[in-house]
Amino acid sequence: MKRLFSSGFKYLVLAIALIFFVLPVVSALEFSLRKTGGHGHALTNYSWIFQQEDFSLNLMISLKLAALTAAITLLTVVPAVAYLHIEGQRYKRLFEFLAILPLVVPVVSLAIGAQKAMPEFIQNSQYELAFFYVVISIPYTFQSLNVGLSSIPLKTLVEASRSLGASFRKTITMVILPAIRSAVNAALFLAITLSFGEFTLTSLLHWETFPVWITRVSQGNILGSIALSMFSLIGAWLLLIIVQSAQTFKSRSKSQPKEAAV
Amino acid sequence: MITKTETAVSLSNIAKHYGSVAALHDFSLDIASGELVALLGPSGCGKTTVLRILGGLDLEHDGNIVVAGTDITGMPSDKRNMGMVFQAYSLFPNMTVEENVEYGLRVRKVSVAERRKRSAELLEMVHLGHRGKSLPHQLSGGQQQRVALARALAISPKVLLLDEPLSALDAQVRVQIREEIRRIQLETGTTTLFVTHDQEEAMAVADRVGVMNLGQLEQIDSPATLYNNPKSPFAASFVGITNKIPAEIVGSGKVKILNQVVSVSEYAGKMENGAKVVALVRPENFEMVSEDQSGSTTGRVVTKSFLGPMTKLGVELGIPSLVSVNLTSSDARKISIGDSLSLVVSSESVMVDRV
Repeated sequence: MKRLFSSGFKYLVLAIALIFFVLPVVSALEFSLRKTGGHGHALTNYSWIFQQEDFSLNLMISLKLAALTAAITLLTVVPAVAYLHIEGQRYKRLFEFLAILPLVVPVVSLAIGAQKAMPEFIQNSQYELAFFYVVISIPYTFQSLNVGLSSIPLKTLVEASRSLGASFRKTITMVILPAIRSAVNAALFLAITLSFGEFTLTSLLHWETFPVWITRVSQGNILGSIALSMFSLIGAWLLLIIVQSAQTFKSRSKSQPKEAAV
Repeated sequence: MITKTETAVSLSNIAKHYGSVAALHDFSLDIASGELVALLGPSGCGKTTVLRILGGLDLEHDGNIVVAGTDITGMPSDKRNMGMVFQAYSLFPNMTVEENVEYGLRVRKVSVAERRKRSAELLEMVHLGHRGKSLPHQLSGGQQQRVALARALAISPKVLLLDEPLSALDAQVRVQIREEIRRIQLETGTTTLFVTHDQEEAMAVADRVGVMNLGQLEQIDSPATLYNNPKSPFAASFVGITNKIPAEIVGSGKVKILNQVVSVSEYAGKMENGAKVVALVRPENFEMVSEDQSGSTTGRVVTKSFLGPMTKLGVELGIPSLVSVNLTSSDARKISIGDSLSLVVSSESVMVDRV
């Protein structure tokens, strides 16, 4: 009886969660497919997106910024968090605290402060945004990497690799990163999606990216704006599915059937 | 056959402090080429610190390290060419068994063909030739440690460092793997430092066993010498002399234990008549005798544990702690818990310590 109740409760929670997450998406999808005037459904609003001037230009800018954000995260945040785990255990708490600061500092202060801190030649380039996106995604990327690195015997792996003649750089690239591949992928995915959808900071700094463009062009077409949002959401999901599939394929191609232990 | 003449490793006056705590002080050790030395001691005695210092994983220490005639003090671990097997499973989880073994050679930019050949040879040596394509999580603990051993040997290390490699394994596998470690070490002639807290393990595999206590080497000798002539009560307690029986000095070089007088083998104190001491007696150095034999002491059997060929008895002899007595299982067969038992110390001499 207790088991039945526990199982029923589990499905109830699952159903509520599904309604909570799926209902708004389904509603938005249905809304985005409505024809102007509310008579029937069609892909009119989606075709409207592609007819807009600067659609592909802004989409490409955002994709480039997302790629650059991922690259900076991979080259700076990942080794830094790994180094913190290996050599700076005593400072871990401090850095865990510092890593949540981008959530606490108002975006206006962050935007102005961060831009002032940038070298002048980057201040004049749209690509400065990638550095800011790295900063604002740190609360999430740091946690993801933190969990990944805590799940492996990092110190032993590093010492084993070093004793076999590998430098610190080789140890990170050949042993540690592949060992926490899923955590790195998750961190990169978070950085990409965050940068792809960031509006406030970009708008404050007067740059135009895909989300800023969406806001601008959708002011005159409410159904079109929902279609654009759905387009962004589906794009992000596709990206997640691609990353996950690539990872699953790679790990499957390596695994062998287990034989009896001796 | 490996000749163990020239010194392969020389650790001189090594000292290491963690804050105000001295982990090692004035530690010196020479290891001959091809020799297997085991460092034995309780947790916190500094044995792993010695191994880490030798392996270059801990560079902040005093003293000098010379390996094959070259001073390597301060040299980072990746330049020392020493293979290590760790207590925790340390195989790289993203690599297959074969790739793990090849790793050190890949780092050294050895050609793929040569790497494959070497890893195949080593995997055969540890009887895992058929598991080259497996991932570490598909292996048992014992198999993982054998792969770790093959990986450490792949780089033809100057010294092989084994940091309690068997402690995570179950008893049966431990014996099997330790025998393999010794066989492979003899086959390859690799100079080896083996750290363990298990006396039996150290005695079984090592040419010499060093007993460590509080950051110092108490004694280093061959297993037989260490077992038969421990130089300190601490070393004695670590090689199986577990009974500490209150006793009294009764003349020059003589001690009275229970109702019996025997010679003193080792005592650092003054041999004054009437001095109260503690006699250290091995469980197997008791003999069961008839109650009326002179010098015998009679007690009551409180515990009995069957250990295969031997049976361990816990006997109450009127002293604060139970006396541990090992008898052959055939002798002990008729004895039950609660029976009275008369015993004498069978050895001619015993070690005594201050109270």
